[in-house]
Amino acid sequence: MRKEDFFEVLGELDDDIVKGAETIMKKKMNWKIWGTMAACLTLVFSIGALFINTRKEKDMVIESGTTDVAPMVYVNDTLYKQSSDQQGYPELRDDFVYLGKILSDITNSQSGDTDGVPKENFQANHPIVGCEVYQYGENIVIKINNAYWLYMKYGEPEVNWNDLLETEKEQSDPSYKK
Amino acid sequence: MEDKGIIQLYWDRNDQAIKITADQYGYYCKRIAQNILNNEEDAEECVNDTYLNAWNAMPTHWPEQLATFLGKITRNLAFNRYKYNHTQKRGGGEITLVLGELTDCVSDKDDVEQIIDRQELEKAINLFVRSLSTDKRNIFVRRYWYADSVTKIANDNGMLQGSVSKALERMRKQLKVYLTERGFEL
Repeated sequence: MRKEDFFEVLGELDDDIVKGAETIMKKKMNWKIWGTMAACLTLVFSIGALFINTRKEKDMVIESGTTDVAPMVYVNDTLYKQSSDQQGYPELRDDFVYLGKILSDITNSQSGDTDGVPKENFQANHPIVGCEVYQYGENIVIKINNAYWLYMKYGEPEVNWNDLLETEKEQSDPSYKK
Repeated sequence: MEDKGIIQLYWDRNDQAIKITADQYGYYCKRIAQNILNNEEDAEECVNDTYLNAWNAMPTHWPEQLATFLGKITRNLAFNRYKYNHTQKRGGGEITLVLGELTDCVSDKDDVEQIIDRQELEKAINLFVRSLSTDKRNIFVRRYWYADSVTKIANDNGMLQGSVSKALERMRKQLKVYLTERGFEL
């Protein structure tokens, strides 16, 4: 018999046999389709959850308000802000007057209702507890990692050192020499 | 719509029957034609001819299974088109592979001397297929009735292509022995 004729004979399989194979295929296909859809949904939800978590974490950081606020200290009823150009001195100078040490850090506050600004004497808003504080003119310096970093009185217009007149530099820094 | 309702539309000579048939069974028929013809345009024509043949057959025929009734028409039309294309050196695709595999069961020669009782042969093949396990029967029918590719069968059944090919090869050899034992020298 020719193969084409045999293929035609096979075409006369009983309806229920043919239908049965089709039904099984549909069931398996349905399972595959639903399985694929379920996998896709799981992926979408996972990504969504990850995105929401990331957003929440971001929001939490912003809400805490501690990282967006400049490094500040509150010493002798005055608020000081670290100089924006990170001015510092490598060595202890004669005209630094020792005031004490930083006693607390509001980022460790348990109340959680801080606005990121220190309000108690010898309090900072960044982890420098135990660092030595020195008065320097109307500003202060704090010894951090073996260097003395300038903190300027908060609220005063901050002037860049290079923008000052020679006379102003002399007034601001007694050790300054032309 | 249920099959009974569709068939009734054919019997009532309501041309909505063809539209609903196309909606519900168009894809099913197209898949069969496409497997055999491997040509979009030819397959589409076969499917349209299937609706016409169904229209002409009902009445007086009331199909037990509308899907396989339509599928058989499509399969026959598509295979006739394949044979025509084949003599024109056109076509090919999956059906060429399917037919090649069937030479495990038949000599592929015109034997005018042997008169084969076609109905008895059909009965024997039906009995053989029924004797197979559900999974094997599914694979056999998918390959030799629907002319589905081994890849598609493997994917749909969660099997390796090699496993499907091996299973088919074993079933062809079993069928050959089964038919020979019953006096069918094909």
